[in-house]
Amino acid sequence: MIARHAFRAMGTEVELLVDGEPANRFAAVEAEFERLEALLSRFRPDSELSRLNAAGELTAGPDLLAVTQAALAARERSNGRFDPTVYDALVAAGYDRSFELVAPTAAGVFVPSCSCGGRIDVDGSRIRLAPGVHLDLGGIAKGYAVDRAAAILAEAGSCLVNAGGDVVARGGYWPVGLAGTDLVLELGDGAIATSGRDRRRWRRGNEERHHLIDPATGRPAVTDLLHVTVVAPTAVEAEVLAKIAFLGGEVDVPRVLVRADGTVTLAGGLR
Amino acid sequence: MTSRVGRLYAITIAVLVFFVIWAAVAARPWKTAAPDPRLRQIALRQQALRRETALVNQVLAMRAKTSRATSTKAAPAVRVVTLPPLTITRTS
Repeated sequence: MIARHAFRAMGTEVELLVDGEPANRFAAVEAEFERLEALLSRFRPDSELSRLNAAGELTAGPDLLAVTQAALAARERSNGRFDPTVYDALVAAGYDRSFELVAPTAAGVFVPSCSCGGRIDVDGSRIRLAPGVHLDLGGIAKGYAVDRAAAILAEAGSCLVNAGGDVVARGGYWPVGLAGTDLVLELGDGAIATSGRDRRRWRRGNEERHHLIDPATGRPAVTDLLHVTVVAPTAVEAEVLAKIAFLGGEVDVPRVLVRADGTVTLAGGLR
Repeated sequence: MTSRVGRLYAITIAVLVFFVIWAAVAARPWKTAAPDPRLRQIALRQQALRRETALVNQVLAMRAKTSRATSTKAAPAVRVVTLPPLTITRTS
């Protein structure tokens, strides 16, 4: 018997499925999402991340430290294609508040290209940002929360967590449909994430913008891809790899690429 | 004759003693030698290299840790199926 529970967190729908008696695990997962959002959201002025961005340095708690280190490792591994310093570029593009509050259309304004790749030093639990550098962990924090949620839920049995497209399955096999395609993937002990420009997008004048910033230009990425779905061991890795693949980087994991003309390509061992 | 030879010896010895004392004073043995600026630059460069080495070692350790973490994790089992989905992804 599969128990199901849904709630909203981190600006998206979160769905929990567990094959067994969830007891108080659903409530524990909700509390964990709320706790992590309060720490890692760039839209909450009192979050630990906002305080770091305001002050330029901070002695971080274990969660902000872990997510920042994961983001820095991903930047290192991807030669800067994944970059947590896209904050100013996102704000300049118009994504300066929670997405539900971003006006879908508005008069056109010039979007300056913002430089990314600024220096971030981590010394013990102390994080220091170079002057003018601000962090956006939106590209990885939700994956971190989903991984944590799955670890909590897995105590109740075989489970699946789906937070706005970041999916983690632990124990057993779960059929997961890929939006925008007819594909269903059976996932066992792994994660799926999708990055694309088909949802978080808005218009300024005649220009369509989206939230996936290319760190090389400091502007929303220009690509014929609509969205990319990747499979990886954890949601953090899947989120990072999906962004890298969307920005044209090389990844070596099972993936589904959907182009603007509707072409669907399976790669990395999927067929 | 004897006194002339004696005087010559005395003058020669006096001149020698004078030059020895002059050389000793000119060497200023009471003053410590000023450090060679090139040695100072080498010492500074050595310190900088030590700092860079520590940084490089830190980066290498981080990469090794990431690599170990990635290689020890089993690749997730995934395949395309024709089952009805229990959940549906979307673009995040």
